[in-house]
Amino acid sequence: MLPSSSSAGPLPELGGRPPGGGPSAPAVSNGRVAIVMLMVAETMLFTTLLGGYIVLRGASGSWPPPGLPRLPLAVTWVNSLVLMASCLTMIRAWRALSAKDPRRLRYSVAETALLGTTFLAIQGTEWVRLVRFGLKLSTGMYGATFYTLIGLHGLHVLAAVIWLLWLAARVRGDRFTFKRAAALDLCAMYWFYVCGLWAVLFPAVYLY
Amino acid sequence: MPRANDNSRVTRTLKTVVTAVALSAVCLSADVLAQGCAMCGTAVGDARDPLARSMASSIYFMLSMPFALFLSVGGWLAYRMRRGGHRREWTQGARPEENSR
Repeated sequence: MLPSSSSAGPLPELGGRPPGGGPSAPAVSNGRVAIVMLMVAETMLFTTLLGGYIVLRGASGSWPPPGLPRLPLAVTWVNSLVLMASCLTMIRAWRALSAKDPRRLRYSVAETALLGTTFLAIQGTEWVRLVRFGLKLSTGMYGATFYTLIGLHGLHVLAAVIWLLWLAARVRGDRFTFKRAAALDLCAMYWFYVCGLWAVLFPAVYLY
Repeated sequence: MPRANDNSRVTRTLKTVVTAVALSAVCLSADVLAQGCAMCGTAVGDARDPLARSMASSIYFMLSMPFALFLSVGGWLAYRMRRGGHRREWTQGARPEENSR
C-alpha cells in the first residue's frame, strides 16, 4: 500500500543505508515492529467484538429491534468517503516524505488532519441525533453493540488525529528533519490501519 | 569427527518426522473434532437455529483471524527481510566506492 521509497533513496531508520557508509539499518525498524504489534492486538480486540456482534445480530429476529431508529446510511457513506480521502492525502504526505519535499509534506499532513477531524465531527453529530431519537448505549443489544464498535473505532481515530496534529506542528516547526522522520512514517501506518478498520466496520454494522 | 552436513541432515529429518506426526494427529482426529463442544451443542440445540448458525459464523470468523494475521505479518516481514538482504548485497557488492568513504 505504501509507495516504494527505493527511487528516492530510503531513509536510514526505515531500513536504508546511512549516508557516509557504515552498517545498514535492520530490514524492519523497531518502530515498525512496534506499530505492527499494536495493529495485531487491536485487530484481535475488534475481532472478538465483531464475533459477539455477529452472534447477537444473527440470533435476533429483527434488526434494528422495533421502536428503535435506523442508522443514518447516507451521511455515513459521505463520512466514509471523507475518511478514504484522508488516506489519499496521507499517501501524498508519505510520498512527500520520501521525496524530501517539506512544502508538500506540510500541506498533506494538514489536509489529512482536517479530514480526520471532519470525520469525527460528523460521527459525533450523528450520535447526538441518534441519542435524541432514543438509541443509547443502554438501549439493549442494538445500542450496546453499535456504540461499542463504532465508539471504539472513533477513539482510535481520535488518537490518530491527535498524533497527526502533533506531527503537523513538528513539521511546521524548525526541529523536523527528514533524517528523523520515522514518527511520521509510523503515524501513516497507523492511519491506514484505522481507515482499513472502518472499511470492515462500516459494512458489518451499517450495511449488514 | 562429525561434519556440519550431518547435523543439518539430522535436523531436516527431525523436522520432517515432527511435521508428519503433527499432520497425522490433525487428520486422524478430524472425526472427534467435528463433534464440537458438548456445552455449545446442549445450549444451542438444533443446528438450523439462527443462533446456532450465527454462532458458527462467529466462531469461524474468530478462528480464521489469528491465521490471517500470522500469514500477513509473517509474509510482510519475510518480504522486508529479503528486500533488505538484496539491498545490502547491491550496496556492498556493486558500489565498492561507497564502502571506502
